[in-house]
Amino acid sequence: MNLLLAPLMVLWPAAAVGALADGRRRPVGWAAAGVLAAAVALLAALAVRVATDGPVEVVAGGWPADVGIRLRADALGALLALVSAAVVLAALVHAVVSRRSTRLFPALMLFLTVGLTGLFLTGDVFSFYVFFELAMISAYALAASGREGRMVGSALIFAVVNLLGSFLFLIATAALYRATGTLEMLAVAERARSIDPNTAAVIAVLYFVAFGVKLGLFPFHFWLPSIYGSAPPAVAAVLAGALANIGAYGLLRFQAGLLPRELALAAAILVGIGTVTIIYGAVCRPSAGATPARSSPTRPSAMRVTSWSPSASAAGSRWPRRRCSPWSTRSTRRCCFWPSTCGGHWSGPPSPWARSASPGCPPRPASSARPPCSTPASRPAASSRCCCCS
Amino acid sequence: MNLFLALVVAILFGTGATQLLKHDLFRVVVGLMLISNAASLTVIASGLRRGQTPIYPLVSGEPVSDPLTQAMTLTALIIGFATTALLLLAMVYRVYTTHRSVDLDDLSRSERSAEEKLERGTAVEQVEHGDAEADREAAGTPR
Repeated sequence: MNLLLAPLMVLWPAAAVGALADGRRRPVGWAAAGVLAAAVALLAALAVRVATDGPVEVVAGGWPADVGIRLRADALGALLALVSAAVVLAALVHAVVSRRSTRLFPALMLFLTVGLTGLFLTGDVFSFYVFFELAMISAYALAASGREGRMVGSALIFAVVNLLGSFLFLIATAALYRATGTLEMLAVAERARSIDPNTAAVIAVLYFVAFGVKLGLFPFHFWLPSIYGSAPPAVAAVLAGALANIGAYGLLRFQAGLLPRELALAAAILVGIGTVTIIYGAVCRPSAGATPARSSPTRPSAMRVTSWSPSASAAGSRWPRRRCSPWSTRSTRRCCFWPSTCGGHWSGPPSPWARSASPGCPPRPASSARPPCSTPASRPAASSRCCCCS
Repeated sequence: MNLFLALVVAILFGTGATQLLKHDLFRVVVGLMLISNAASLTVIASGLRRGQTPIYPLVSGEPVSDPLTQAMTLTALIIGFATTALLLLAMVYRVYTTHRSVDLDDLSRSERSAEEKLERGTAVEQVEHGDAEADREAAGTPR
């Protein structure tokens, strides 16, 4: 079997079979991880071959070269495919080891890898779109598959924004096909030199916006912090380590590879946007209010100044330690007494967890006037407030 | 014909973008569906050339219209349908079952309060500041 087709041929049937199995069982998870490890090994072999012998090509289905879909691995594609598959493998192993795998998790990870591998190894613009949507659909499902309710909102925004990016990509691809009359990347790159500069500029801008959305570049980043913060750790790792590669690869392939003239025009803008993205991402804490860092009791408060959400920055460092978490299990959902009047469980708008009060919980005092509690001694008696963390 | 299709695509995309910016999540999904159809129509329009039907036997000497865009549109339609109609509506339903609302304002409000809870959970016990602001907010919202 051709080395280029082998990873896809291994992953695709395994993903289809895995969708029928129950991923919560550990053997299923380990089997998926084994298949993924085999695919990573095949991709590594492919990368070695590409590094020594140059690009590898194959036309799918044995069609003539201009008719069939061409798969093509060059150094960039092979390397990114290897890195992405390795990231997905690590995330899958972590999820299986820590028993956080949900029913469809291994299968979705395999589908995601099929999509990623395919899009990095294809030499055809439209099949790039198909593989890309395969990867993205798996990512939407993965992002929404967590148990927490608040993740669904972030996942929905992630899906809506990225779908918009995908449709922009599709429109740009249609325009490129109209302008060049072919979908094969090599032929497109050749013919793109002779098309009308205005058309090429519009296409290049559309591609830039589409991949900027995927990558989370500065003006298109707004979906990114909430989904990175609220997705489960394994999914967040995949989103950051494997899916963001799509954006970077797309920018390199479609801008630098197909439309280099237009990229040269926008070089200064791209450098500026990249710099702003780095600074913005470094200064602002992208995971405000996300996974609690239990190991670190204190965080530098300077980081909170420019926190993402105003409420998170306002909540800053003045809240007392949590007594009952939003994720308290049913057995721990009971009325717990909050010694501090600054304890914020009453403050803020209603949250889904606070809707139903536990039985036996005294009604909340009508007065909202809280005595100042500068020192622990000035706090009122513990029983004066009650928080219900159901 | 090109101008007509361009107008239709523009109207579809514009309507979709307007709906996308609404607060109601169903309108957001509808907006995305309109945009996906605008994209499909663009793909159709990109192969708009006069010619005979591309089915064998072909009459020699006459141009053949492009069958590739039809196949591409079919694929794009299926993908668009799967993502918008099934996946997004399923997610909206999940949002509704967890938050009992499909309004983005409600959603961000409850997410904000969830974030505040988490902040409270991780921050150290520093209670120097009174939180009159949070008090006022709490007084305004019936629990």
